[in-house]
Amino acid sequence: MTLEVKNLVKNYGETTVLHGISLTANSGKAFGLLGGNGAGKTTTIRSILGLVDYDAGDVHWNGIPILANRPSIGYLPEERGLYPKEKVSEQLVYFARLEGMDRVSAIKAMRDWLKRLGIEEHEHKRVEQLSKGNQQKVQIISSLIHDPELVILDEPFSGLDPVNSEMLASVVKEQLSKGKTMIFSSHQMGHVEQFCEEICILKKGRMMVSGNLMDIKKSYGRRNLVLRSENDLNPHLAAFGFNQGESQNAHEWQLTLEHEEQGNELLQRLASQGIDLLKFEIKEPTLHEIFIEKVGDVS
Amino acid sequence: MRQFGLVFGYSFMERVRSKAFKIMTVIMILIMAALVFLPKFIGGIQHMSEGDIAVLDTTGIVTDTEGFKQQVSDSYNWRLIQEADLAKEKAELEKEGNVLGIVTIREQGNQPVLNLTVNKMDDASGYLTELNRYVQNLYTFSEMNKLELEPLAKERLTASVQVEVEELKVGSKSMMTMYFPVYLIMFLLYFLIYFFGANVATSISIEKGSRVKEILITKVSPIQLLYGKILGVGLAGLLQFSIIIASASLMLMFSGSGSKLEFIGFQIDFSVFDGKTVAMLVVFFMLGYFFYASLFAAAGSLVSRSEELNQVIMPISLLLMLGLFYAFFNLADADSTAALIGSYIPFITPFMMFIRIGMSDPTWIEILLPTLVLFLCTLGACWLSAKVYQVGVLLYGQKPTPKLIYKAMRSL
Repeated sequence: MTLEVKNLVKNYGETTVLHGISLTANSGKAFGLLGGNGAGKTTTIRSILGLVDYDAGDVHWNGIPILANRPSIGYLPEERGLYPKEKVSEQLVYFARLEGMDRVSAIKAMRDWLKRLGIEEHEHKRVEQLSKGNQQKVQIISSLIHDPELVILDEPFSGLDPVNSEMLASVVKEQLSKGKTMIFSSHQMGHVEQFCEEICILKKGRMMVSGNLMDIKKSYGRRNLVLRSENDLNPHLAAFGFNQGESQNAHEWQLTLEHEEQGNELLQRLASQGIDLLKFEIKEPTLHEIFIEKVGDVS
Repeated sequence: MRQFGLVFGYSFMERVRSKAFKIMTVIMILIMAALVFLPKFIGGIQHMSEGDIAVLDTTGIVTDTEGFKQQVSDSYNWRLIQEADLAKEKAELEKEGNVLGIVTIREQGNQPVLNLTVNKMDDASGYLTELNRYVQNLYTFSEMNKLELEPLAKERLTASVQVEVEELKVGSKSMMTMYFPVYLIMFLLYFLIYFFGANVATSISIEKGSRVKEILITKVSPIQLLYGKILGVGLAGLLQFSIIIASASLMLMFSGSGSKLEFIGFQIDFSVFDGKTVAMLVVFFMLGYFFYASLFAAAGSLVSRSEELNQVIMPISLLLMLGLFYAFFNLADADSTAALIGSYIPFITPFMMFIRIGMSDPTWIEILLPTLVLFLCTLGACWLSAKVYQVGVLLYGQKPTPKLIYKAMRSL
């Protein structure tokens, strides 16, 4: 099961909001769609859902245009999409039945999910009576209750505390292990790194970075150096050309290298001067750093 | 079709379960109860005696007080008194006790004089004319008896003129019997269309505001969503209407008024409507509802939050009100050119046609053509509404200007 988006272009009047977006999401894999506000994530998602008529490009499901070969889709929008004055049970069963489930299995699935997410006592409450986090759980259930083939999660972790975030993370992993194809959009890079092998960073409707997350990181090189020592390293680092105060944290120093070899040169020099190191680590950049570099107005 | 059924069922239940539905039904039943029972209650109070009126007759023409009760006013307790009681009764009247008036009939120089003493003129305004006429009659009879006339002559003298009315167009609709029932039903028609139409707009704007629409639209086509909603809300409205009408009929039956309703002093008899009129009322309700509900739905799908709704539905509410008033102004003359023209203008048709059928006897062609025009315009409104609905889901935070809507519709 593969979702393939090719060269998607969308104009609103004179303004182009998507400049040729392409992505491929495979079964059992999550595709991370990243970008700041107004980057074009929601328009891309809406194009995949068929809510927006794009001006050029294709959206294919298993090689066939998605509108002609519509898989069952579980969509979790960024903002809550629930009837505030209706009971949790009524609307979940309604959404499930709209996706073709019969009443009995819809009720059973609803109860299983409510139990799984620990909110079974809220079955007969109105949504507006629930806390924000519990509303988000109901929303998550509404997008997964009918066991969809394609799952699109837009900011699924918003409003969840750390415990519930862990619970949702396990749900996402379970969905992936069941072979679901997933589009995952979030501002929380930690979660994206946790689930997504492929990512794409959008800015103003253009793809800034796209591809395998490991490859992207590799292409940036290992340039983050962490040192720990009981000695004061500042004079030595200054002699080597590093700014003294850079990221000093008690006995730990975090430095940004110009290239990977610079780290080894520094290590040799410190060793030759008899300085003991408790830690020497050269790291890849985090996704957060890549995101800030690509999306932030640093450039 | 299955999804349409689900949307329909859910919209229906959502409406019926809502607090607004229950409260509105109860309030309407209470209003109906007030309409049916209040006049009877007030009437009942009026039938109770308001107080005494003392009658002193020195001429001998009054024999008992029954005639006063029957022919002057039954709201008072008429009581004969003697000359000796007069001062006491007057004192009672002055301190505003149970005596509300004193009538004295005396002979002064061969002339009968009727004297009425009350605290204020207003107290006697309800019966003064009748009292005058009744005492005049009593005096005439008494004087006539003194003449000792032949029985035949007496009979001829006292004979009252028989009134006979010959109606040339028997069976045609009379203004007097039709006016109020048509007036009331037309108002009800307006109220129902407005109420249910606004419900559709509210319901859609809630889905839009809570972003449920964004979820629904990935599952169901906009057309099915829109019409499932309009039909569901419409059926809920019809159910509400039936509950209100049924309870009103039951109350009318129990109150013993039959199909007659007394309303601010007017007798309204709903049995004047024949089967054809009732059938057409249903047709025009349906068409009118669909026509206006489609427009209301389009308006509802344009707002970002339901708080903004009033502003957007205002033009449609005005159009509906205009239709009602246009029909109102032509109620008295349902065959005028203005009425005829109005019956072909879609937003007036439901009201105007009901008036024409209720008050006059239009030909079948005159009924069918406007109905067809309204039907086609309703289809057009539905088409337009579905387009706007589809566009509306994507408009958030933008002011729905006509230009923006047009542009968005073009881009679909």
